[in-house]
Amino acid sequence: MLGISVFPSTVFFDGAEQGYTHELGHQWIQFLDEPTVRSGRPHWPFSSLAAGMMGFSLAGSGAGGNFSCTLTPEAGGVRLTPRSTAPVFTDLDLYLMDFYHLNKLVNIWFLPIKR
Amino acid sequence: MVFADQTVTPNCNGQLYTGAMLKVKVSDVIAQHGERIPAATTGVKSFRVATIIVSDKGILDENSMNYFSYFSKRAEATTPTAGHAGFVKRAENPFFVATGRRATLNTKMTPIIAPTPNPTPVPTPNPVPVPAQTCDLTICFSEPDRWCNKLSYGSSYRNFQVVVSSVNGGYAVPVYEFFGVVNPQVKYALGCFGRSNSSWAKLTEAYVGAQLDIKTVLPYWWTKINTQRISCHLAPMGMMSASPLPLTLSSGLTLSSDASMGDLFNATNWALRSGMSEDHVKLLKVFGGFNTCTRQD
Repeated sequence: MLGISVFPSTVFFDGAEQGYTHELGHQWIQFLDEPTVRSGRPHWPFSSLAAGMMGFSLAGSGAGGNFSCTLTPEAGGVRLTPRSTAPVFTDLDLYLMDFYHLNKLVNIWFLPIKR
Repeated sequence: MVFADQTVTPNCNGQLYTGAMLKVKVSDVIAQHGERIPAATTGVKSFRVATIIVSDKGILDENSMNYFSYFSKRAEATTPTAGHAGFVKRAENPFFVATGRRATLNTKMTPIIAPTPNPTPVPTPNPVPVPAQTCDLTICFSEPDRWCNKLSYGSSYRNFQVVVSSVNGGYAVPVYEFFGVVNPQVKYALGCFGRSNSSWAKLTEAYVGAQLDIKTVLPYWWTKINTQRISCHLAPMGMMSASPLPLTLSSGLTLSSDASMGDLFNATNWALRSGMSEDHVKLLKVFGGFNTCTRQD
């Protein structure tokens, strides 16, 4: 057995629902000790990664929050476009889950700078 | 892309965000953590998932178990699947879809069977005649389109599902949606919005109608139809030109006179997805031969 997900809500018992898939995703994500993403554990910091299935950590509780936003690099910045569809796992999620080959990973993403 | 200021939720309103960001290569992460082991080419891609309900009120009743089984199985769905959060309806992305079709879940629970000990030869007794199965249940089947009105006005129990093979990947769909509204997919399957002459549409109507007919007599019927023989529910021979059984579909599957209603429904699911019109016609003769509880003296 690989792991156990404990559901605090009956909604999560719906196997097709985002909550179920998100909690299952925690079997792999996210426990990186990488300084730039550590602050978001067990989710992601506000980022293109947080726009995926695993979301970001809500302040205080640390529970997963949705960041339904598409981030598109443009000249001069990043365009933030609202997304109405249900999320999927990001490329880095899939890599951590062992479903995505390294050489297929987009080789660039952005991480925060120290203020 | 990660925002520098993590204390403020970025306003996702179409704006061009110009705050500071840092570009990092994936090789930086790999350099710190090493490569993923095993590689994706050899890693596990299909997972078995058991859903366990911990109840402080004793063993759940059959209705509750059916409820959780139904929702657990939705984890196996391979297409975006209707769902809701509160009053918000949307297409959810189940695991297979959310992983970009890379990995699957299997929620089926299979009983653990103890290893069979080496058999000890025993003398073969004289065969004991097996009594013929008793047909102890009468189901009155109706024309499918009669359900169009009966669903709207006649049902007091509104929490049940039927299989409409053309939708939801072949999984059961609820007959009633929120606020007791009849699911339009079910009404469409029954021909409530207009009937087609195609054998596929007629078989769909007959199949969904038969499920509803059975439900009214056999609560929690889905687990019980394997004990119901088709021949027990056919109209008396005097009312049919010829028995529709046995029949053989183009897949090679044969439904004998001893086949169960579960066998029929499985065959129908296959025929509606993959069968040819000849298959539909053969199965329609079975559905058309069901007992309507009317006499023709």
